[in-house]
Amino acid sequence: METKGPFPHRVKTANKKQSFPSLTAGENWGKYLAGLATEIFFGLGLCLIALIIATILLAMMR
Amino acid sequence: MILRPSADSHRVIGKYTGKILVGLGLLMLVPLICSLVYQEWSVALDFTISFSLCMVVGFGAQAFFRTERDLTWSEGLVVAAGSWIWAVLLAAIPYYLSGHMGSYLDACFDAMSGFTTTGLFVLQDLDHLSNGMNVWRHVLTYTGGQGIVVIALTFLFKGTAGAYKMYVGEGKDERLLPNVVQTARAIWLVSIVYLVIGTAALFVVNLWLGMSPARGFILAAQQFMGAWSTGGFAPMSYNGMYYHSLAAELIIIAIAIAGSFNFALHWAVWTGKRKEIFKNIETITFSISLICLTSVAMWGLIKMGVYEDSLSLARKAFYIIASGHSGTGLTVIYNRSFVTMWGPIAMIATIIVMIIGGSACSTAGGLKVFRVGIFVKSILADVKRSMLPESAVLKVKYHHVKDSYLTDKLSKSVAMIITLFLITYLSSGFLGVLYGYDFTQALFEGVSALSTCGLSCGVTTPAMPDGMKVAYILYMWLGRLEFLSIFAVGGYLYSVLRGR
Repeated sequence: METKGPFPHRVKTANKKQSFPSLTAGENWGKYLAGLATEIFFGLGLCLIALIIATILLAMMR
Repeated sequence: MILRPSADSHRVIGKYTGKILVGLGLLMLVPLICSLVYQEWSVALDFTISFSLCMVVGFGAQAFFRTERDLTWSEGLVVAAGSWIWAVLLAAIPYYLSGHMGSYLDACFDAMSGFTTTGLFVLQDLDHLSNGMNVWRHVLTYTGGQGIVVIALTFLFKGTAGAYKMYVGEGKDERLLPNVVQTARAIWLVSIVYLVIGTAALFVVNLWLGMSPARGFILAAQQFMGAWSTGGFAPMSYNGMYYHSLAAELIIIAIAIAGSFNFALHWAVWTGKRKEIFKNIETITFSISLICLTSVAMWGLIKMGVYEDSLSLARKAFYIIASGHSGTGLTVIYNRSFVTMWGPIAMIATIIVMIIGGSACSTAGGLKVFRVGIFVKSILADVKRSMLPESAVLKVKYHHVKDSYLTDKLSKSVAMIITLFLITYLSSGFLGVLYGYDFTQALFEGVSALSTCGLSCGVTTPAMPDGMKVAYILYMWLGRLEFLSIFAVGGYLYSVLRGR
């Protein structure tokens, strides 16, 4: 007798994809590191803008 | 009619709090191992005592409060907020035993400051603190940034419906993944990858500065934890000035800015949506306010004639303003320099960035850039609406991981939270005046505590009155968990006392 609920296979696959080991799967590391680099360069970009503003403000106010 | 919580309600709160305290005890193994490595035997004994107490209280609570029931919403919030108080009381024990604290209240102050990633401290003689104890300060702030509940969810829970309620109670309300336990693990994944790479980068700089590998490594790990968790604790009393290094300052501030980002944003960027960082309402609001208020601070500093060249000006002003905005509290000037050198314009710019704070669902505090962004959009929408015909329908969009429409409900809740925060900020200024401090300095310090920032203009010292220490402990707790959980605890206590 069939006792399984609807779409048992799909539910199982979805759960498997979200499990902890998949977070650290090898194919993800390239993306993770690229994301990290993007965030760091974003912060450094803000530093650079601050330096430009400091130069302009000093030139204007002196 | 207010109903008194049932015995089962007390049991479920006790059981989950016990689990979280076991997690705290396990954390103490890190400084314990460190003190054994550095042969600091008395420090190791302090941590053994504290670890044992956590285990006794944690497992004792789980054994005493036996129940199979899951948490309700209000119970989840009470567990989250209450466990922070219990955790502070236990985390303060090694502080107190170290002999560097004037009293147990001082120890609780520093423990709360660590957990809430504030960075204000009343610990004495920091430069002669043991390695084990210094590691404990930074581990507290690193894990406090992620959240005590997140730690427990990551390692001690198999996944229950109640887990999400505790997670929300800790001031985080966004799921990176559909399952809350996996969300907690994803938060840890981001934090640990940053820990490894950030520590390695700072280690290289420390070696280049001439430190021995052992000292360079332990300082690098502590520098990273202080920056990433937007905590602001530094291993040396000179804070950022100790290193005199532009490279170290750049790495630290870039880590601190990244640390103030929403974990949902991290996850989106890390899983391939890199353009998200340029169009997210939080990063846009953060960048605009950071650049504008850095410019204001620079203008004030130029008027005061403090810094001679553009590099020194940008280096000091940007570091402090970014540190205040991200809620980090690391500094490259002496605390009293805010009053004696920086002048009112730069000081007010610093207060404003501390009030705005970092992103929601991050390690940062303050009003949060998301709310400020929504608040500004709501005002602009109202102005636009007033200029349109009455029959016109105005839809305002904002982008945070996905496109959403601004609703009246969201605008109202944002306005309510901002009002509550602003009233509390003002109260901190008046409290300082009551104790004889100058209003601006008291406001600066109170805002720093409530925004869990940690920049100080010299009000926070071991000699500060006990009343202010208690108030700042409560501000830090309130600032980290925000109002929802604290109201839940208040409601719970009221229902215990007055319910039927």
